[in-house]
Amino acid sequence: MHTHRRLFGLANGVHGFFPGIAIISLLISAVVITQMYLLSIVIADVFLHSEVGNPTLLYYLVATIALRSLLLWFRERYAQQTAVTIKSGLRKNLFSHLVKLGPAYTRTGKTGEVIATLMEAVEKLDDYFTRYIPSVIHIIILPITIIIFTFSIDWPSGLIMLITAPLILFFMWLIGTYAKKLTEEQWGQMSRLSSHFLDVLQGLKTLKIFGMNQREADNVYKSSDNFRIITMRVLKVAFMSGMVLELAASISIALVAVQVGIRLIEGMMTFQPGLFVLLLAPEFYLPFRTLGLHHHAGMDGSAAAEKIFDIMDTGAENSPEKISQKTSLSEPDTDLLQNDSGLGIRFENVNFTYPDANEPVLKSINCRLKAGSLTAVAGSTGSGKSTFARLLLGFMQPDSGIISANNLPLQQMNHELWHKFIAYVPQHPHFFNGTILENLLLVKPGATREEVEHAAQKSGAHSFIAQFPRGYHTPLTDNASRLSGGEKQRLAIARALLKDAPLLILDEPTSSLDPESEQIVATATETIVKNRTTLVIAHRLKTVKNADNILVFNNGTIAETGRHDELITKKGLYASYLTTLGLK
Amino acid sequence: MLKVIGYIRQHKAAFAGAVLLATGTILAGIGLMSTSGYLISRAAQRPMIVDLFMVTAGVRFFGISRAVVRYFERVVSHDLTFKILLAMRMNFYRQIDSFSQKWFMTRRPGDLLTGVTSDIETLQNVFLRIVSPVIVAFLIGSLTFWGLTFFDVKIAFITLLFFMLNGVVSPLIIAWLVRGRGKKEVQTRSKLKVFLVDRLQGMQDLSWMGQQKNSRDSFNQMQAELDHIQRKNAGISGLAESLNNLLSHLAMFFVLIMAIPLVMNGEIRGVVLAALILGVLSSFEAFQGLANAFIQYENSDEASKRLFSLAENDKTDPIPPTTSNKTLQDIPESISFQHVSFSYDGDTPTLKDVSFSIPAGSCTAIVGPTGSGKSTLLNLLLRFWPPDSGSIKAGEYDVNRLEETNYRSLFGVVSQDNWVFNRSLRENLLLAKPEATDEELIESLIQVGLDHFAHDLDMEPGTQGMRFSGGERQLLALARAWLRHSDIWIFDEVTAHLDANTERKVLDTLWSLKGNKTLLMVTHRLVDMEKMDEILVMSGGQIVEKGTHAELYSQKGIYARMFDLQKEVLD
Repeated sequence: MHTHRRLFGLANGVHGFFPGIAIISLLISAVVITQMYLLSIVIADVFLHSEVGNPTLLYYLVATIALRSLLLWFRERYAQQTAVTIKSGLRKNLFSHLVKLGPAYTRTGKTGEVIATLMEAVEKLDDYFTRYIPSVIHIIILPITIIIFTFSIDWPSGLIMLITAPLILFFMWLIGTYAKKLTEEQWGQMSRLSSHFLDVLQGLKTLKIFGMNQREADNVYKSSDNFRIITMRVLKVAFMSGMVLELAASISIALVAVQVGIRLIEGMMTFQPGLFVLLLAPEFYLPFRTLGLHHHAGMDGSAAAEKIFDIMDTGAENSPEKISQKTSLSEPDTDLLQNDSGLGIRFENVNFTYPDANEPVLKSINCRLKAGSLTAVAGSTGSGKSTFARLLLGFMQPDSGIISANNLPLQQMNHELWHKFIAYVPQHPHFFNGTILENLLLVKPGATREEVEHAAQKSGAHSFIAQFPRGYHTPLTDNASRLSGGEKQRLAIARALLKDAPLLILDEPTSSLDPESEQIVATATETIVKNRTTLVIAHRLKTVKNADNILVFNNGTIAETGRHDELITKKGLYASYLTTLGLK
Repeated sequence: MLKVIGYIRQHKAAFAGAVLLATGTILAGIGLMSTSGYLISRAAQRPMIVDLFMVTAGVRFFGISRAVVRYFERVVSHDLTFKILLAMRMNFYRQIDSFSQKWFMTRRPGDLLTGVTSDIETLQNVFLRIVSPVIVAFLIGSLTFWGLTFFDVKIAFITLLFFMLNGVVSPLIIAWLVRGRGKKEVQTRSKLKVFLVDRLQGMQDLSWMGQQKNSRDSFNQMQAELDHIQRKNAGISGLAESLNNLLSHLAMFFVLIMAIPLVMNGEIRGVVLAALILGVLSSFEAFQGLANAFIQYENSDEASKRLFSLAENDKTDPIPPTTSNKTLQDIPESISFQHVSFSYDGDTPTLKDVSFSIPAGSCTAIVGPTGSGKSTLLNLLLRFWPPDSGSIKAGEYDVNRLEETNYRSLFGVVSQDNWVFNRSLRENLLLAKPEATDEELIESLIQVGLDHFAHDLDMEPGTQGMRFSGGERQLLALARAWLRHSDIWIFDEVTAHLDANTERKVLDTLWSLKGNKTLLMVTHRLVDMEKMDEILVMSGGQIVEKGTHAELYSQKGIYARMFDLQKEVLD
């Protein structure tokens, strides 16, 4: 119900939509009544007097027919255009919200789902606004108008309509609650069955290895057929309530016809009003049936909307923008970050828990990255070292504690501004659709060709770029799928070099054991870490050995700090960690 | 598309029933309106009430039967839809099952299969939304035409004309408009989607490179382009309903005009005029859904093309038929590759002249960087695809001449892509040995060190085994292999995504269970190499070095460099 309210709210947000649809509905009602009135007069004249009393009525009749269709078309077109406006707004908001939420949200492998929501789910709202909402409005306006008219012509028929309409609405409500719930559950099972089928297809190789592929086919058959039998039982209930609804409508029409007939025989009324009422009766019940048809659009729409609102409502609690909107850095502060002595970083009592987790990943982290120094982070998977880097990158905000750069708390800093001072080489760098040059220029829009090539040369990327026929203008698509892992690494390093930021965060690639590309990446890495504050999530012994300081992470805390040789003599966690790996 | 209709033909009785019931529903509607019209016309002539008894009964009969017939129509047609869906699924399963592993390797199976399942769901509605409405419209059209000839042939023909306009011409116009607009809209939409995928996947880099505003601007611009197209096309989708409305009422109008003189000169009795008009109007109900059916046809046609093209694709590279179905009686004394070459696309060779032999009971490791051809080698060994040249032998037999299932039962495979099905742990284990008792299953879990799951065979591991950690998944695969009592164990990159401690645990479990089984370990991590009888080093599709750890290390070749590099690695 809440989702429907929000969707109606969205429609209401488009200026004049509800009044517009209501006015068109009212016009349609008027035209329908006029058309049936004219028709009843013509038929009555021909039938009773064997003449057409007033031939111009026929022209009017054609006019009403044309007008009615035109209004129907116009209403749909108007609703459609409104839907375009609403969908467009939703999509833009969603995208900008996602950008605001940043990598912390898309990190969790939800990308596929999010894209489906933005593309397909938003499109599914189309029918909601073009069909469902107009038919909801129509069901209020048309029957009321017809009832008022019928009462003025023939009150007993009006009474039948007045009594049966709420009855039908009641039945619809009944379907809406009881049967709908049942069918929804069943459709849910249906999609489970379909995902079960997908599961089997995806695991087919495993099944083949076990020689179970035939047996599994029998299973799929049995469970699907079983499902059909159970579903049909449930659907029968739903169809039964549909039947009651239909019955109510057609019996009501029959009732109007029969009682009008009887009163005609009794001479209590004349033929023309009787026919008029009979012609109006199906028109009266039509909107109920139409709403029944579009009810599905309503359900689909609200299911799709739930996914959309889910993203919209994803809290800003971990979004850096929450803070950045409040304050932004003033000019003298920027100078503070840009001074010649470099950028020093400090973590004070920093705690962090992922929104969907019970345990904190980082527990009271205290440390310093001295300006111009190389700090390595070591520790096993899940020890919190990547989270540590992400916090520094500003992708997420700590639950408590302060991270500061040159004594300026990051929390008070504009997100986008902070990123001006960072270069990042992720473990799996992404390259956007566009040429190699365009990708490099993203970090420094005004860079000259010399600067770009210089960076590429230093990172070892130039050699493979030059081999492409189109060189720096080689287009990259699908996350640079034409580049190998090593090439992507080198290009990512070139990108970071070009940016030349005072703080570098580098997530060393894990082993590929391809000795050649390892060597190139290692050399490039050595070049880039010079002359700036660097944080490396280390996967190489050499890197930690060279580091000015090592932060050894264990279970979300920093267990030890110090230089490599210091830590070895200490014979603590670091030393035993190296022993496990057989690296000592 | 015709193939889909083939599925419907398998259920002729249900099909005929559903169509007849749908026709009956509309006929009852026509009956209700025309008897009502006749009733009040006749009543206006003020006969005795008993004279109207039959007519009132008719009105009630049609009123009730419309609802009842509709109910049965829905029951029968939905049941049929489910049956069609089931038949299509099974057929598709059989097709995929017959596909080679090469088919899976050269395509993106995940996306593809997801698309396939939704295509099948689109196609299940072919009957309900396309076939049935078209036939029903034809039947109602013919019956109405026939009925009208009793009144007047001209009236019958003018009605028929409007049926044609409503049933054929207007859907064609709409389908034509939709197709034209569809193309441009689909293109713009897919452009937007590509952009979205790119930016969302690269959110991390987008963020630190400060591309937020840029991306938002580009997105809004592309969305505006889409809005423009959609706004321009806004009128098309409403056309179907309003055209149906226009044509049905115009038909009624023309019937009226033509009936007037006939009534006046007495050829048609005035008392049936209202019935005639109302009947004609009601008959157009049969044509309401047709425009939609045409649009559905477009979608379904695409879906069926995609679906059936999958099958076509495979015909171009079929699995060569097995010439013999010999079954192995004993464990072969060795497995050997003799001058095996293989290429996925016929151009770039993935394996080049690979020869080696694995004696029963030995431990062999195949090592090398990613992309060196290790997984392909395994796929050939497991008979998912025959080599282009050379042969693979189990003992003296060419493996591609052995019966598939029997041959594969030799192997216990623990691999990265070992699928954990979204069903209970028990069912996942039973795949390896369907007749195993719960005790055996529990024993297998204990053997591999998954004791903590031993008491809970009913636990559900979730989609793609989400509730298992990487290590647990490998151990589950090991438990499956253990249950099979296979003689040859294949370990395919099992420790690839595990941390050092978990890796140690998995390997220790392996060694403790190994006994006198043959072991083939494919890995890019050089751990426990000194326990291997032979190490094959692969690079660029060839075996470049061969020997024990000590031999290879002293050679100072690629292996030694890889080993030294590994010493540098911290995880």
